[in-house]
Amino acid sequence: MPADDLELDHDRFQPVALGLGFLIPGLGHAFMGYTARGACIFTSVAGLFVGGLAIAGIDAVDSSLAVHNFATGLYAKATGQQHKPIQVQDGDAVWFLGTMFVGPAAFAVDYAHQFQFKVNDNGVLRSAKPTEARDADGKPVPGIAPNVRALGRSGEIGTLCCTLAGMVNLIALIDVAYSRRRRPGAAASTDSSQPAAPAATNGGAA
Amino acid sequence: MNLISVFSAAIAQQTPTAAGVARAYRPFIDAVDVHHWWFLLLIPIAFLVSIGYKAVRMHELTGYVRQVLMMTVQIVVGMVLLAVAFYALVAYAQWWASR
Repeated sequence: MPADDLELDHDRFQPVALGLGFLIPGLGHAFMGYTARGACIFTSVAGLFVGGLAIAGIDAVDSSLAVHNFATGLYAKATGQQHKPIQVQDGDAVWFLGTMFVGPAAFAVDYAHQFQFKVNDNGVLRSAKPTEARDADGKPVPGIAPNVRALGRSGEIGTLCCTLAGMVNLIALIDVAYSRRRRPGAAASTDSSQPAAPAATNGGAA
Repeated sequence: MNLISVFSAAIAQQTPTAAGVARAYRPFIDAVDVHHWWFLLLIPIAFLVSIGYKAVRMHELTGYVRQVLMMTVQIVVGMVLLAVAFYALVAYAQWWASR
């Protein structure tokens, strides 16, 4: 692994790197010149997020439209319109507060979950029962459920994986927001000219 | 009841899922049944978290792989020790309540 010395500058905010890091995990670090770190962060976040979806299915990401309703509420307040939030019966809104830091991928999966897999039961979105299917309008009809719900350990581990992915990317976002662009030619060196901070050289496990 | 019998019971436990009444498994849409081996997922989760954490935390990436593996082992061993400690605590509470 080539040297990829990270230099932090706590006085300078990097909004572009922060935005890129939120868009695609690790892209912010790559933008600042830390390509190897960016690749590692992407591997970690994508691995946890995809792994969570593989374990719990699309049920691992379920915001209960909390973010959607919050955003539309703010928009309605700003424009003076009446806000009518979408009612959702079940979900993991608190867990989504962590998962959303994965970026647009988390919001896309959540949107698909809410509007492609949940049924609209008299204006209330809810997960389909095993013997319910969705019709063209999203209303529940007898049939096979659009997806197998994550029960017990599957739901726990899958949701945990997706939330951990968001938390890891949040750490990366905070880090890249105050990083300093790597100097040209620094990749070729095996060590930095600046003294390494003893506590940060290897990083604590805890 | 000792630790081994607790783990054996957990592995042998048949937990009902909705898979029996649903269509064929579709990756990333349907949940998989991990009830028999869920605790093994700690290892890849710890490994992936270590990859991300060390990528941010290390001042320089020299020895990165070794640090990631070390942190993975630390997490797994720590979780096992926590499990043993909580088992002992529950066993002690049961003994204390029944005496």
